[in-house]
Amino acid sequence: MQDPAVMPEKIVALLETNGASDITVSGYEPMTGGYSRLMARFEASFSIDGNQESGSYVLRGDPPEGQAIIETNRSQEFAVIQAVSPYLNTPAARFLDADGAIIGTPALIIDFTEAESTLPWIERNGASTLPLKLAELSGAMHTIPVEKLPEILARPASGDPLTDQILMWKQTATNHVEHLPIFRYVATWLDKNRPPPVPVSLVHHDFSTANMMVDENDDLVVIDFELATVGDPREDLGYFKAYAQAAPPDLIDENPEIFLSRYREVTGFTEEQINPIVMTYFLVLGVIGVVSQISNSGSAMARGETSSTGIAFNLDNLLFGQAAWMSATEALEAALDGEVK
Amino acid sequence: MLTQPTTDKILLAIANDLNAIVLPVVDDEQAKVLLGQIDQLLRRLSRRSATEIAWMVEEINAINETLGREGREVTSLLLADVAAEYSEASGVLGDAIDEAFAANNEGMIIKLKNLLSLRIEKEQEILGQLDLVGRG
Repeated sequence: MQDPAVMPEKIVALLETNGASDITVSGYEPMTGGYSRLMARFEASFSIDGNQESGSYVLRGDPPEGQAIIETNRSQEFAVIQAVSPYLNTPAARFLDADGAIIGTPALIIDFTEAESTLPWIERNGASTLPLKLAELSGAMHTIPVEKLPEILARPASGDPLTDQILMWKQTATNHVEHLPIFRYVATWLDKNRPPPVPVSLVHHDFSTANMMVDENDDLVVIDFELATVGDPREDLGYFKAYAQAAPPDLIDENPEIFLSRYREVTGFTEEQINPIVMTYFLVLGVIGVVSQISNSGSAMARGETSSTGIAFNLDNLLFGQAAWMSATEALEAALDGEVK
Repeated sequence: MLTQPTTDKILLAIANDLNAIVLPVVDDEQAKVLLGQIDQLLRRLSRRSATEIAWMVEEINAINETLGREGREVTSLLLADVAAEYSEASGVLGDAIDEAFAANNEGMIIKLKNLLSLRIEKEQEILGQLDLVGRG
């Protein structure tokens, strides 16, 4: 996927397989910022279903075997983007090479968006309008009817997303290449301090400013659904806050009252179901999807099954996380004891 | 063997040279991201290599003392052996956490949390500043 000399021809073949004709592909250029997947931008024009199209597109594919930081499925990602596109501000998924037979690795093509990365936008414009926009975006995502989501998307195996997530904490502690007592503490603590339930919904699972952009209407665009599942929507809010601790700013903290009020309005959740204390609970609980992937890759590297700088680098995020989770449980205990409000 | 300069100093020198000499002449964006990650990793490895065996032994002893595991001593200072002993002690600490929560033993939970705090303190010293280079 990194070779501009061969990729245009492969993209033409993929588009032809999907019924496109009169295809030209140019300007193929690998992109940075894909983090877990390889990405490249290209220009294309083609006819499909009687319509002529031209524009910029993004090819998003799996890295070579053994080099992936996390293992996810392009077919699932494609299906999720197609399902959520009618409800969310997100670039459309257009074509899929599920098994990589044409592109050389499983890959999908999505529309390129001219929207700007969130952090540079905030540097220029400030963040004051974004808590409300974030509430509307997350509210929209968390109210997509579950029956409209693809069947391939994992549902809570136990029937209760909190039970599943807490079990994942325990399993990650058990399956890691060395014992992780902080994970076990966190898992047990989370189990003892469950908040009131809410209905399940789509959960993005990597909901952060890194996966958002701001478009020409100053609206937030959400991208990258590779880790999505069906679960407790508050996991995304907790993950958002956890990520913001490592990579500020925290757009929720910019104006928590406005964020929570609008989010409750859109989702219909009560103040007991979503409030600052519950968000802090999910700050811890909601990271386990990504954390378990990082742990799996780190264990595989320790066992000599794979090796990359990225895996070792990401494993260090767990050091940051362990301090943040313990600190969050302490803050919550104080809050639950009524020591602070 | 030559022990000076020590491993931590050599790793730091490599990180400094990569940053000052190699990075400015690299144009490829993906290579720049990789160099940014390597720089952070080398600086952490420098701090870790200087202290990790001593820190693991210290923590193993603290766990054993808190849990009343008398007569257990770290006999080999080979990194792999100490790491295995550290993992074993960590597993026992995890079991003790589960038991303390199940029994609502607040006193023991506080003692065990202190052990985890000791671990976190050292981890933060190794980690230094976290920069999520390559994201967003």
